[in-house]
Amino acid sequence: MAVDASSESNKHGNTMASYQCRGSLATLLSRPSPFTNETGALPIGEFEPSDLSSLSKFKVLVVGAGGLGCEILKNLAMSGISNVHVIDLDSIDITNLNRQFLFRQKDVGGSKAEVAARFINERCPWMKVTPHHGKIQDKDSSFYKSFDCVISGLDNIEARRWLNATICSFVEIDEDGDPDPSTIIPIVDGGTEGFAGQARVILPRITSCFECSLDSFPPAKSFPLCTVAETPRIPEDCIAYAFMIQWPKEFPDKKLDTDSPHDMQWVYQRALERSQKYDIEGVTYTLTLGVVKNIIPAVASTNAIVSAACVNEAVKLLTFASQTLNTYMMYLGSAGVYQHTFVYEQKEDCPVCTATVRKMTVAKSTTLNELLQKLKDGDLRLNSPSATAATSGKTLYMQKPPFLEKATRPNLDKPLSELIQNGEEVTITDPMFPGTSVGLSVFFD
Amino acid sequence: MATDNKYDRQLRLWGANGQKKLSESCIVLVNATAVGTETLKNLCLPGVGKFHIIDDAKLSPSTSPQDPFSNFFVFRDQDSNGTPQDRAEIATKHLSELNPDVIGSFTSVDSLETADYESIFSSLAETGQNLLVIASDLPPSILKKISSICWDGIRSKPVPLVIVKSFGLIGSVRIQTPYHAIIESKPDNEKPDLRLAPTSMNASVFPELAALVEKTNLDQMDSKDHSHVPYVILLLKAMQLWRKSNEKDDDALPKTFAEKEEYRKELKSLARDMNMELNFIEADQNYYLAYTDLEIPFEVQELIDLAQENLYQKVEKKGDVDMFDVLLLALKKFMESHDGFPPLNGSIPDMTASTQGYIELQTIYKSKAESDVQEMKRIIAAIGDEYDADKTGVIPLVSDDDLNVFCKNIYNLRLIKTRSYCQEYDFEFGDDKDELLSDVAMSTFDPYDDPVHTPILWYIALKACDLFYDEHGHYPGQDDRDLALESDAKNVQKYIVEILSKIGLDENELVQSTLLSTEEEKDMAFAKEMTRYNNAEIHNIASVIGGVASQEAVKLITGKFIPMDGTYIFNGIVGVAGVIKL
Repeated sequence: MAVDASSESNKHGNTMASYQCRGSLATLLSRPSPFTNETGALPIGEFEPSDLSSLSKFKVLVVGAGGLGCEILKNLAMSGISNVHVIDLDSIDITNLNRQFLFRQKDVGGSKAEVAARFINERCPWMKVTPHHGKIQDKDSSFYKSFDCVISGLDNIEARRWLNATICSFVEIDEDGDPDPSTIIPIVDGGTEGFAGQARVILPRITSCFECSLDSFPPAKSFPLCTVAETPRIPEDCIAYAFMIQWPKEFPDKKLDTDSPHDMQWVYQRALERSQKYDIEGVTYTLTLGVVKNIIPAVASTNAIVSAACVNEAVKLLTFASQTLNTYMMYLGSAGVYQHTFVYEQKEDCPVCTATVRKMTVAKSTTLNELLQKLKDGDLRLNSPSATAATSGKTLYMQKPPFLEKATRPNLDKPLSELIQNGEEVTITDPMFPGTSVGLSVFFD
Repeated sequence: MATDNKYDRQLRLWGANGQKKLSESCIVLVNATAVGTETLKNLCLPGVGKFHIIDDAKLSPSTSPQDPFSNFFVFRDQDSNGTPQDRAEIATKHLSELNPDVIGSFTSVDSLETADYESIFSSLAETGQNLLVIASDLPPSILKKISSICWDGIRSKPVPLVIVKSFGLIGSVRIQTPYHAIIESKPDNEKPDLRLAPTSMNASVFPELAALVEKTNLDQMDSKDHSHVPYVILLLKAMQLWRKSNEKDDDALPKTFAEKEEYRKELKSLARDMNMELNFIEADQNYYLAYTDLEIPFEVQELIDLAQENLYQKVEKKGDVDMFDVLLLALKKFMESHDGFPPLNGSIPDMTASTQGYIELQTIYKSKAESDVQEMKRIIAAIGDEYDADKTGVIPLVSDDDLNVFCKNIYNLRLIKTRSYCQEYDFEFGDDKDELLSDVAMSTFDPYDDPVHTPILWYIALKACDLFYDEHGHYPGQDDRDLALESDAKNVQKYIVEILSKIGLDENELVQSTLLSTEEEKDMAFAKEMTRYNNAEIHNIASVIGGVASQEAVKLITGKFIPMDGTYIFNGIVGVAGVIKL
């Protein structure tokens, strides 16, 4: 049946069509529901109907002020969460402008965190966004502990591992082995690649954490140097030769600046020459940039989907007004729309969110250095591990400070059998896992 | 910065020609609510040509800056001197700031119920831009009007329509397009078109490749050359060997498991060191390519089968013949004269080989693909002569670029014809009724972990609210009082039951235990939740939906990737979504 243009007066006396009269976030927060937080699969609190003013008590950290970060800041502003901090070390590049909508041409070169915070604070006067231009690793644990929720929109694995381990390390376990809820800071993490993206909720020690899913983020593809040097076949081989072999040879003292058009033109020209020599087609400047900088395509739409899904979860986690994503949402948009939401299971021996002691069997003659190398290359993917014998407390090797490194360096070339007992537990620490250590029982075969 | 192109990161997805299509488009937004402006934001940023907002809302003088709260592009300017402002104007101004390449304009109307959409759309189309309409948060009565206009087309050209809605924690996107041809669907894992099996059965299919295999003498190679023979050649060599040692015919292929294992053994026997020769390792990983052929997907076969009739009918009716129609018929004719094989794609994957060996192989594939393109060109010219002898222009010209792209994407062709919004809203079915309803029933057999969050259920609940609006002139939950909320919920439940019987789900097991459950906790839970919302505009839901809708809009405008066919329903309670084809 057709509806006549029924309209009614709003509180200001203006007529407004009935489809324009509608509820808001305030409605959601003020009314009871059959689907509040405590009714869901990940209950962490009980919903009490309230008003918008209840939102002002929350303090939220946004990690990254790029494609996801800009959206996340806007979404928090539009959700009335006013006390927000944002951290990013990057500055604005022209190629950000197709999606990082808080930046304009005039802002290129400026700090992402600062420009984004300024834009939001000006547009939304109720907002108080505090920017931090710098590395996440430079903030101490008291900084991170002060937040009620952390939303991360990072573009790299290393930073996400560090952030995840930091937040997970805050959880205190009581005598019964249960995590103390007041020490749990929810992490909502998002990521995108082209038309695909994912959003996930991490309740440290309750759900899986980022480290549990490390295997699903394979290390970046490397170029087989032998092919690149001897039998180039595809344009990528020629580009790899130009920037991996020719550049260091030509400029041994100068690091390639991938943001410099001058440097990149040089690489492109060398790659082009090489491709012509071998009759290989397809070396272009765009491809050169893509290969050297390992560029991942990025569009506004995917960032919007993932960021809004993340902030939606954050708002629900803070207000308990609805249930929680359990735990991982994947969005694939290139062939129709395929969205899959599933429980990402905790990894049994996750080095970050379980206390499992791993077992490792090595030859008796294996040196400490070889063991540490295995930890870097193996599934733990450590960066710069240090080792201590757990029972004796004897320091085996320390990366820092320099005097300790120097003192323990001779141990590196010693066989393990000279340093520890068969089956002895070694405590491994790594700057990748701040506040956490990994137990490793080493057996000789 | 190493490039001065701000579109660099998206050009890597849809290329310069996709970008050109975007810049030639005009997006029309009807109703500038948050879900609408969020959709438009994601289209202004990547650089559509123009946008136009049609709206009837005004911001009153006493609106405080944070009063709207949920719409990032609608807020009062401080210097507006207290005069009411049109939302269309405000939204246009702030969306235009996103990208200087985009030209924004607006029409403020008295009511979206009575606006003359047809004349607004027509005058926008006069500028030569391709229109795409976004209908945002509109009630069914208005949507039906817009849907019909877009379906019938402006100047006989259908206009793609994207319908978006945010309703509390639930949101939806629906695409309406009577005809959307896709050449570059860009699948994630494209299988190589190598033609190994047919070539091994009959050298005349690909004589240049067969000759290269003959020319290759593995026995006389030094170890370096031997370990650099491309696996394509090794697979064909092994096939000859397998036939010879098993006394098979010249056109036999391994069929049974045992035969395939024999073939694999022959392949490995050619290696001098199976652990060290990378080319043999790759060959062994890809051994199935030797006897399996790339098959034409059924969606593509269907298009080919109908090509002749389709083009004939369009020409008879003096209808709008699409370039796609001509290309499909040419493809059909090509395949008929080439033992069922389509034009060769022409590109080969990277594989262990010497530079020279790889380039040689690449050149063979490329030249064959080029000669197939030439053949297609002749066929297209013949089609022009046959169907348009008088050169009236009824058969559109096909440029060399378009033909090349088409021939590279034979396996990726798709055609999307959605149902119209009116058909969906009125549950109007044709021959497809049984298929559609059984698909819907199927979706209930695979419920989400927590069955109550299965997408189809929330699709029905959302739709019940539209029926509620139709009858009551407002959405449920407008009146805050308990009794009113309860009464609205009961009505929503009534519409839920009505819809269930229309789509034959009233006896369905999942539905019985969820939507229709009378257990205390579950009783009318969906209706109560929808009533709780009072059609609330929640920014995060609007933004998720705006993201999905803009991604679909980009696919519709560029003609690349595959748009969805149906209604996307997002359940923001737990972040679960699905596409319902109804």
